[in-house]
Formats: sequence, structure tokens, C-alpha cells
Amino acid sequence: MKSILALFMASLKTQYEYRLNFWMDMTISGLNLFSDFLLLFFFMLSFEEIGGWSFGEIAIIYSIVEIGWGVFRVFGEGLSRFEELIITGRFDLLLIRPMNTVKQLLLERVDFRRLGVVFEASAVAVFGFIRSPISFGRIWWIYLLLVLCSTIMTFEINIILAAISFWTVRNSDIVVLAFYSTRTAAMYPAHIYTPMLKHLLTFVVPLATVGYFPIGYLTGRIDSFLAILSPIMGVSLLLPVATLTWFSGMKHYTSTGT
Amino acid sequence: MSGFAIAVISFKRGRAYLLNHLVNNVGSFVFGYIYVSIWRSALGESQESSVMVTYLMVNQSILWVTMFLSKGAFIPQKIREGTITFDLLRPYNLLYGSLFEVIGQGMYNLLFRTLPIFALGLMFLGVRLPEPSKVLPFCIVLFNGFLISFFLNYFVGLWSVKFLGASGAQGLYYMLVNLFGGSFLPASYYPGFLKRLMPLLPFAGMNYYPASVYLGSIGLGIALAHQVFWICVLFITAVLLTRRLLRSIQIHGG
Repeated sequence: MKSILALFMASLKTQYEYRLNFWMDMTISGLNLFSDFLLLFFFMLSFEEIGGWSFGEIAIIYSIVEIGWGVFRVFGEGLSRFEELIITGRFDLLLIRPMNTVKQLLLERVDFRRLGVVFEASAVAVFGFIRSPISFGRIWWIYLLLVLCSTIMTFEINIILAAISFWTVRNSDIVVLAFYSTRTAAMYPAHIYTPMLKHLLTFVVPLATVGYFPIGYLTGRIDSFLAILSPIMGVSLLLPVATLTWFSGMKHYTSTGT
Repeated sequence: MSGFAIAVISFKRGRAYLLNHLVNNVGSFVFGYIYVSIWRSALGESQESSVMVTYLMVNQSILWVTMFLSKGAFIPQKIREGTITFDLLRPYNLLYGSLFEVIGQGMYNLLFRTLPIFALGLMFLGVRLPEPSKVLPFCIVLFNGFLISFFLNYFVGLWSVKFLGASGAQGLYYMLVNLFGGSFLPASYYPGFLKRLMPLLPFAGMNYYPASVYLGSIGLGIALAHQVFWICVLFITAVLLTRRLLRSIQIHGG
């Protein structure tokens, strides 16, 4: 626990060294995502709904997926740039330390500037609850649970994708395909896509299970009770997959280093 | 001649990661498909919808020539590694060298990113080919869009010369191009005064004008007037800024 705290503080201190840069990067990373949402806002001024879902409801699933991603960006910088560690051979260093490699990765480079993403996504959530008939007071605990599932799932998916670089060395392009594009897809109601992409978002990269299905159930659009259980199912099924991939990847790892 | 040689080297550098880029192209296509799905759900099966699909996918393909060029025209990396010294020793200036380096990368992206993504759009999403008379105007406008993008990226690079980091400027660049480039929304869907402001900003020259010329909804003349104006403004700014900043450059050693 002590070492965790020490690593955490070290990250904070390094980043806060350049104060102006720190605040600027945080603001800009928030604003950057806000520009995506603003475009959607302009779009909704003309059309009012996407696939029968109102803007407020979309904002809610949008925020669930995005907060999960934001928290991942704060702690997952080591994972999302994992190929660098493999290419430079610096992963060897992690292996000789007496701590779980995933834990080290999560704490090695805590990126506080990415909190801007979390703030932006939370603002989107507030907007969503104001605009939609779903009352936050009644479902707040479900919403928080979904955000938690979204966060855990984002970590699980990214651990699997990072582990791929044990075999392929470079993985950033696979991440774009398997995570960035699916994450964006999961921010909108999944029935607007072809069945193939919808199934992909349900069973393979199951990000639709943390937003689209449960919120669809709560708004009475999806009948099946499975919809509200799907986030729990998604998160718990991915866990063994992520663990297995990571550890068999580590077994396969051969250093590139000098 | 030296410009051409720089471009060729930069082109070849891209080729080393061809397989990665092909995987990335599928990801980029999925992004395009997400936007297409959103628009289709709003417009239904209509004439307007099919025009919009073409608009979106043309934009998604040309993003690789007009938006996703190397971060800061390769300058931030050179600053970080200190290799900028070699660029400053060369018998041409930084602006010239960077331009051709980015041209090489742009050519690579055009062949191995833009065209494959566009082909996927043709095959799976019913993207329409341009009328033959629009092909040449589109190419010209696309090249100008590339130039505008180069200058904006170059400014991000100069920012890193001054402040030794590019993340802030890079973020700002993405935000502005995303918001005003028009790759997701054509100008007519912007609210209020933004509808008139957006086509005047330089960012519109990167996506909105090329895709509109492709579709024939905007004439070559109007697009050129906008782009040439901005290219001149950006070029002059770039020359002046380069001169000023390189007078007091800090170089990382080691």
C-alpha cells in the first residue's frame, strides 16, 4: 500500500512541475472531447433524435462510456502506450520488481491531466439527466454502477489489447480498430448499426452492455430483463479472458532490449 | 531537387508500417460507418441521405491527408530528441524541409490510407464516384486542403520550439479542425451565425470545401478563393514566425 501511494505521488509531482502546462493540458483534453459533443448538439438541433432515442438519453449512454474511458486515461496511460515499453525493452524493469505488472503499469504514469475528460463527461451526464425524463434521483445508484462497469470493462479490454503486443510488439493500430472505434460506436444506440456491428458490441467488445442495453431497459425500449443484467455479465465474462491473455502473453514475452 | 528527395525518404518511412496502417484503415472505416449510421437513422432512405453518405466517407478518407498528418510536422519529435540541430544546419530552411517531409507523408497516406478507406466506402456503403468533370477540381482543392493542414501542423511544431512541448497546441488543433472542419456536419447544419462563420475559417478548407467540390455542391472558384486566401495568410505567418522563433531556439543535447 505504501509503495502504491509513493508511485501515485511521484506521478502527481512530475506532472505538476510544469503548472501552466498541467492546467492547460487538462482544459484542452476536456475541451477536445467537448467539441465532439458540441457537434452532436448541432446535429440534434436539426434532427432531435437518433434511432428513436432523444438527445438526453443519448447523452446518458454517451457519458457512461466516456467516463469509463476518462478514468482509464487517468490510470491507464502505461497500458495505452504499452507498445513503447515492449519496443524499448523497458518492460523488463517491471518484471524484476516485486509487484504485479498490471498494478505497476496502472500506477507508473497516473495522468491527472486526463481528469479533464472525466469532468467533461460528467457535464454531459448532467445535461443528459436534465434533458431526459429519466430521473437521476431514482436511478442514481444504477447509473453509478453502470459507470463503474464501464470503467472496469474499459480496463479489461485494454489489458487484452495491450497483451497483444507481447506477440505483435506494436499494437496501437489494433487498439484503434478494436477499442477506439467500438467505444465511439457504443456511445450511440446500437440498433442503428448493422446486426454484425451490434453483435460485436454485445458479445465481442461488449461496450453496448454498459450503456445501450441497460438504459434501453430503463426507458422501456428493450423488454428483456437480460438487458439490465448485461453489464454485470459483460464485466465478469471479460475478467478471466483478460487475466488469461495477460499471463499467457507474459509467458510468451521475449525482451527486445539491449 | 532536394525537396523531392526529402519527400521520397519520408514516403518510404511510412511504408515500414504498412500492415499496421491497413489494420488502422479498417478502424477508420468503422468510424466513418458510425457517422454514416447516425445520418442514415436521421435522414432515412432518401436522396439526401445517399449524398450525405458520400460526403461523410469522402471526408473520412481525406482526413488522412488533411488532418492526421504527423504531429507538428515532425518538429516536436526533433525538438525532444535534439535532432533539430541537423535540420538547422541544412542548406534550406526549416519551413521548406518540413513541407517536403510532410508532402512525402501525405503522398503515402493518400495511397495507403485515403484510397483504401475510400474503396471500402465504395464497396460497402454505396459511396458515389464523382462526376468525371469534378475529379480534377477535387484533386486541386484537396491539395490546397493539404497545404492548409500542413501550415496548421507546422504552427503546432513551432509551438513546441517555443514551449518545448506540443500537447496543448496539438489538442487545440484537433479541437478546431474537428469543430470547424465540417467532416461530420456540412455548413448548412450549423446553428445561427456559425452557419456563416464556419465556411470562412481556414479549417473549412481542409474538409468542407474538398468534399463539397467532390459532390459538386460548391464550385471550384469559391473553394479556390477561400483556400488561396488562407494559404497566403498562413504562408506569410509561417515565414515570419519561423524567422522569429529560430533566433532564440533551445536545443536539447545528449
